Amino acid sequence: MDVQLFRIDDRLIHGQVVLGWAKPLRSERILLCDDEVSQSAWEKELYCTCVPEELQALVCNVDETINILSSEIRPEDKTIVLVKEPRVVMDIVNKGYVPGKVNLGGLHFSDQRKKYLSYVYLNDEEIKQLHWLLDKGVSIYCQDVPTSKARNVLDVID
Amino acid sequence: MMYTCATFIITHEQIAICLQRASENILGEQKNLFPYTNLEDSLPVLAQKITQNIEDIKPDHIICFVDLAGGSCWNLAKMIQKQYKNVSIISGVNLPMLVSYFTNLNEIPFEELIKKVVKDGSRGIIHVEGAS
Repeated sequence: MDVQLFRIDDRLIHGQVVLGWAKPLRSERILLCDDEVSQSAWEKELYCTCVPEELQALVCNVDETINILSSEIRPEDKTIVLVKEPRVVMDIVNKGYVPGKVNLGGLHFSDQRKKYLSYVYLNDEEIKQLHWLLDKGVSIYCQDVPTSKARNVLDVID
Repeated sequence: MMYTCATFIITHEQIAICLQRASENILGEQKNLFPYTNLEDSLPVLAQKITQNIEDIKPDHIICFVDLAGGSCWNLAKMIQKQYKNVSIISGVNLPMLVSYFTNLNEIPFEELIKKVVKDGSRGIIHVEGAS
């Protein structure tokens, strides 16, 4: 079962997600999947403190996320999954859950990354990881907010 | 009364740089003021730049004005606050707040300054009802 939005965004829980996406999608739950964040009480609190009351925020590691995605998600569940980089999606796929569609919503500038869109900067390794995911049957599109145009990742990176 | 402050305005889009320009247009050039946008850089890159500014100045106080509580600029400010002890964060940055800040900087003790700035930022928001 696919979630409402499966998003790669290095800022994890922030305005574009809780306001830009969760409001129009009428989401009920945000699942932040990250092994590091899930081990840090401070980071968990940082990301969850400012989530609006109507949204439930969960921080899980990859294994817990897969349990939830493969057993607990029902069609009526309105869940957004957030990961900080393509590598985490690879981990999830390698452990047996293949999301149908992945939204590449924000990877910002840092060393080695090259600009593709105003909100998409990628290094060579990340390009390879995206191709790997495409080969596994994951469809990937770039879109920062719901009102902007979705673009096939291949049109952006090739 | 002298204390040194490193002042950061961290926002979406070009709000930070415009707030700097507007403040300086009213009050003249301000020292140790650094505007940052979250538009392109990832948060670790921004954190590194801010850390460099702090290390250059070694201020008594660090203040981060951010636009949206809970947004990425806010999260970034919280990361800076984790790294340094003397960091104050104020969200909802607006021009009345900054004018109050730069006007009272080094005129009143820092703790009072922060309280005043927050109050003046709110006091700048006034609703004038239209005629019915």
